[in-house]
Amino acid sequence: MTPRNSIWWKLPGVVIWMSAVGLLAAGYTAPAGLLFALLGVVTAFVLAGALEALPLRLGRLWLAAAGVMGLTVTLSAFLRGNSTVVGLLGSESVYAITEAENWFVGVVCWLTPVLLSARRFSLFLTVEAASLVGIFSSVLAAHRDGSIHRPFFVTDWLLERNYDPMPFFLGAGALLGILLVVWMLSRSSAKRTLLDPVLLIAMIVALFLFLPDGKLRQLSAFAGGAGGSEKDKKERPHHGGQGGKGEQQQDQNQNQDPNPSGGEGRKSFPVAVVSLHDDYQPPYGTFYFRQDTLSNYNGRRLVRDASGKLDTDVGMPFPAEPIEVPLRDRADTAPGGRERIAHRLRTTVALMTPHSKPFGLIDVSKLEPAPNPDAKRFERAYKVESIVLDADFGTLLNRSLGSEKWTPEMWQHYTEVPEDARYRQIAEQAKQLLPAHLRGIPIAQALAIKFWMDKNTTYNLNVPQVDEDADPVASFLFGDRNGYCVHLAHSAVYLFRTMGVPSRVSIGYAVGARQRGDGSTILIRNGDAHAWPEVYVRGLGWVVLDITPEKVITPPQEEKVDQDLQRMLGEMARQTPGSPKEENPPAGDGDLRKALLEAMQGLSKAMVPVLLFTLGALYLMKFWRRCEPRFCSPARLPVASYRAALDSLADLGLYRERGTSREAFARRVAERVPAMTDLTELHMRAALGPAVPRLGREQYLALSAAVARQAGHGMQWWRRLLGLLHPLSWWKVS
Amino acid sequence: MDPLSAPAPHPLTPAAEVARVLGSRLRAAIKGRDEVINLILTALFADGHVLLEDYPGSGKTTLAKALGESISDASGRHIAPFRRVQFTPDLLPSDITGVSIFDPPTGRFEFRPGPIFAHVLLADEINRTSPKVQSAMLESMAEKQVTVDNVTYPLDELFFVIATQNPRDLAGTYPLPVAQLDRFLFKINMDYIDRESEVEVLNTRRQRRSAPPDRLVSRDEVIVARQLIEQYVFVHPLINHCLVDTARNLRAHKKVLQGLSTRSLVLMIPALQSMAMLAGRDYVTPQDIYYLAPYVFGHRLVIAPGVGEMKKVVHECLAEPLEQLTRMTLAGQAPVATPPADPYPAGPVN
Repeated sequence: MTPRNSIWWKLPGVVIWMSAVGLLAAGYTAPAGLLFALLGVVTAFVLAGALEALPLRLGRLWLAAAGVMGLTVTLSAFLRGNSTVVGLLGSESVYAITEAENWFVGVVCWLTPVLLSARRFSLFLTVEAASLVGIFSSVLAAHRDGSIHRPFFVTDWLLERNYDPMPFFLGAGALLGILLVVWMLSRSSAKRTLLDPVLLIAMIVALFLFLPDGKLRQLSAFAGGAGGSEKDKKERPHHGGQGGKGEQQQDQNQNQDPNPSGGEGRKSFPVAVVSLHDDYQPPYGTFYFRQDTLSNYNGRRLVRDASGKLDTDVGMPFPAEPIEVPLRDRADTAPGGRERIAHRLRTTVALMTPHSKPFGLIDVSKLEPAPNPDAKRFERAYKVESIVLDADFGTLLNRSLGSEKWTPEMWQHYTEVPEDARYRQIAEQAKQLLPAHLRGIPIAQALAIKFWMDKNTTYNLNVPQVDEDADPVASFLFGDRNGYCVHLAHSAVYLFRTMGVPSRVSIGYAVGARQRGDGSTILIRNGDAHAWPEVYVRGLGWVVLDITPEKVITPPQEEKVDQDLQRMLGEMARQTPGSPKEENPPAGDGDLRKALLEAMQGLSKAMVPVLLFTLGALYLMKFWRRCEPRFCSPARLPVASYRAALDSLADLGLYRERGTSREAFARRVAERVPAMTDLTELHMRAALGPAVPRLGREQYLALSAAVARQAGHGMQWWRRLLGLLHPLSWWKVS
Repeated sequence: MDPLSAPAPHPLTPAAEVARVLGSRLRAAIKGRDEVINLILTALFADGHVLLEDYPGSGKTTLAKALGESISDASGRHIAPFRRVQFTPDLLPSDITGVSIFDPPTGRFEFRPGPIFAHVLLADEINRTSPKVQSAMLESMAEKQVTVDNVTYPLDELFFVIATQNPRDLAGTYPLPVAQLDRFLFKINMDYIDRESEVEVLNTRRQRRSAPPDRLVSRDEVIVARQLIEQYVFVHPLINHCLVDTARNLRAHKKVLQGLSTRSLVLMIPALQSMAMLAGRDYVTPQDIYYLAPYVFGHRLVIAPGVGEMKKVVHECLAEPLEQLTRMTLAGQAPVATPPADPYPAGPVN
């Protein structure tokens, strides 16, 4: 006899839980978190083993676990939110520490009580099984729905080697299934039966069959913070319309893309993929994607131009057919000149979340429709032709501002400012920075303002929300000058306009050029939403003059973009719907998804009749056992009638426990079912005694009927019905 | 339903009657010991002896005396119904077996039987006497005869020994080795009786001394009952399988140093039969095995030091064969015990 509580019997459980937690953690956390989540599984099993012997109250244990969990979450939130700690340790190590802490404590606090409870109440076995099933199927469903947070390593290495991941998946699933069954059986006491694995399989099938396709993706998008979505824009037009607090500014290097979302507890998720058709390095060090622009000062703040005559380079609908954007005076893309100022660049944008308007790399000159490469993954796609700037700031100084074609009204439109003398003061102050010979040049003045703002403002995401009535720009600029891109952009524009420089605020995404890596794909995430000031330079059009404060209070959480993810999404976006697989060997994820779905559908189609057949067979068996005493031979009569009586007791949950004798069972139920005593004696005598049964069939039938009647007496009708309908109640009868 | 009280007289009826009479007499004589009485009657009908392990004053003499006095002997031989021997270190074998004495009138040696010539013998504190007395005693228990001066004298067929030993006061004793304990069918550990019974013992001490409630049972009736039980209580082959499997489990058990002998299994069968008869059945059930196993097997095992519960070990090894036996009864036709064909028949190899 092997002792069932030895370590070997626990091993399958540890392995299963480790793989489940590992899979889950791999999709959501950093390596440190993954490592500590696995450690947490082992710790939980050790803890549960140690605590098992103690007479613990389960309720208190659960409460304690919840308390510890709450403390941990609070602690990690405090660590991430506290600028001193972050400054001291560095944001990456703080992130790693808090992730490790959260995952470790989370796993321990969930798994330990579940394991302990499962050893005392069989109900919790189901809870344990359900959480396992939940984890595995969420991972599978994530793959099915192509959601972003899924452990790509599960399939990528196969896809890269040009293998079909299907057999691997099925094999791993079968292995896991076997492990689960072994595990369930290994821990089963007399009460547990094969019912558990059956239940598990049923749950998995149900999950796959009844979870609506694609819903998970939306769910995860909303759960992830929904930063760049439509909703946020409508709620906060005041802040320039993009993503509220999620905006950020570049840091000093101007080519990084700091992601502020970490501090807010928001996950970064991709919103679009842009594929460059040609290599291009922006002179600003940043790719700016303009979606909208605010140029009209309505007496209170900057709003979108409602007339439709100005700012014609934004506000186009998504292209159903090629749209020529009425552009302006960016003259020159001709390579003939001494120095190329700008050139045309084609890009393809594939949106992953809903957007109200298209955006494109500045400056957009033409929009064309493009087929959606994968309708399950992408919202839509379109092609953009942009005229991109090659010249750097040095060339700006020679140019004048505004366009010669502009009417006075247009000049007025682009230079209108609040009537507040303080703007003039600051502008004059900034002008003093310039050497005397440059003070008269408007564009130099604009640059002076940029440099002044770089020096005198502080980048800080944690700005308290000002009330609606106050002008946020004024309270920023004349207050502590703590703010983020929206404040910076508006202040800069007001100051530019005070100096007579035509300018506006544009909204869209800004992605650091370094982030692109060496690929041709730019992954835009929700955290890349940005607002920036632009000035109109004659011959060039709207030129970005972004403010990059030297002082940064909230250190932007640097979450490096996953180059693999970026490349892979780029591959997917480039794929045309009908493209044969051979042309794009590594891009088979869509095929995988389809194959998985087909396999599941096939399986479910096969499963339904199998399940029905099994159910029918079970009922037939039950029915036959119940009425066998009517048909069997006289010699078998005692056994058949006794078994029928046992079955009817089993319907009501009365079973002989393993290791107790039949007589002891009869004594146990004697008070409620006196007839059982006689029937037991008859049975035992027939089985082990010297003579054949001395009673007739009617008497046996009457006895087993009496057992059924007495057992059911005083029970609620629904309890009896439930027992009668239970297809497997006879399974445990022995 | 009770097969023994069925209209047609069952062959076991006389045995059941003897058991009833003896039971009622013993129960009247001693209160709160129904379980021990049952076991002693089982041993009596199974032709075995009993070792009681208990403290002084627990009523074992009363019990043995009541049993001895309930059995009358009409054979005319002078065999005492009951004898008690207090075993001491200076006791000699002849003190219990008897001696041959020279008789001057006849000029011959005449054998004077010792206290062992009785129907029921109470051997008190058997572990206090020297090993040679113990072995003489135990041998006579097994052989049912004594040999004095090369002459063998048979004991009565109903020879029944109730031996006792005090489990606590072990100084200056000669503990019985397992081989000698094997002569006893049961070893019963008695505990203090419950409160109500003890009160009743005090309340009824007068009546118990005076009037025994029932008739006497003759010696021959007991002998016949033994034969009837052996003949008519059915032992299913599956019961034997179960016993053998249990013994094998016990032998393989990590904490058992010495397992069961085959003889102990053989002795178990009549005990089971008697038990079944006392329960009013003419067949043996798993329940009987479960109940009797600790009493029959317990003192024949040598358990590793430090294992407290002998009973637990026995039941542990019993659980699986019993469960199997119990399940077999539902499997329809229980297989008839035909020995499997021997794949390697004995005979000349070449």
